[in-house]
Amino acid sequence: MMESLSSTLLDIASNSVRACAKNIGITFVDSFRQDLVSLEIKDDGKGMDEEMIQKVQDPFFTTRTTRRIGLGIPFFKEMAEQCEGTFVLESKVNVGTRIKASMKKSHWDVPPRGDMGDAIVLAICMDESIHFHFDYISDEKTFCFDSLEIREILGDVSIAEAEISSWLKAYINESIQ
Amino acid sequence: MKSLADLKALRDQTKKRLDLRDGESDYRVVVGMGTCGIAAGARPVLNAFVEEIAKENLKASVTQIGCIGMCSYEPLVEIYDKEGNKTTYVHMDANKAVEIVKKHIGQGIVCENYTIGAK
Repeated sequence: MMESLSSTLLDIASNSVRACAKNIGITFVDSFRQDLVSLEIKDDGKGMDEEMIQKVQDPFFTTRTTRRIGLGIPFFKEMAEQCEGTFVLESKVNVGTRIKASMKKSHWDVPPRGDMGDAIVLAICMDESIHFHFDYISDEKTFCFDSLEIREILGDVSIAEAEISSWLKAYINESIQ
Repeated sequence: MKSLADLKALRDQTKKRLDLRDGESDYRVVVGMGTCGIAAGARPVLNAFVEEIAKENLKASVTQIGCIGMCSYEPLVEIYDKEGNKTTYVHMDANKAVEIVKKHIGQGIVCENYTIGAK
């Protein structure tokens, strides 16, 4: 399993990038009141048919040709189930995919958040032409981060430039504390 | 508390630095960020490359790629020079990344002991 929620997020978001998504939405809920931690990744990529939806949950399946196993989605599913949570994977060919893990916040095995700002910025850097939208919801606050808004400020400067990416990571982490 | 208004000023500053350093990149650094790479610790390696290259003001780009296909050697990093010659570094960590930026990208000396050939 991944050591943190942020690494899981980055790994699953890279599936969306490879599925040629134009829009990727990430929602992270962290609530004591509801005893809930959930992570949802939604995209408008090429989607999957029923058979593929079943296959990707099997660790001995991957769409890659460089190796024969794929652990991203099985890790995500296992994380949810280990924490008395639920796992949802919905997909439609040419429409997109939605994947979500919901866990009990009070459960021992819920992984730590890790560096969420880093994961969001790295995900955006995978392909800056993709529109990323990140929502954070806790008991005290909500925060949203949208790559279009950032793109507009930056113009021809890449998000991947060292000063910019480290500022954005700190900005996100500060906002979701 | 940071606000997006500050980002504009930082953007202008960065733009100035980039204009001074114009021209093509001498090296292209590619970091394996598949499930295997991430689980093995590729994130701090990627960040170390980005930060050190900026600190040393070198001409190199850093990009992410999925699984390269040799998962047991992760974190894996490939460095391409202008002619397309590839060096593959294996079992990377942030300290090795800093050293590779200084020697390989800064001075053109391959850190042989970290390459796949040395394993």
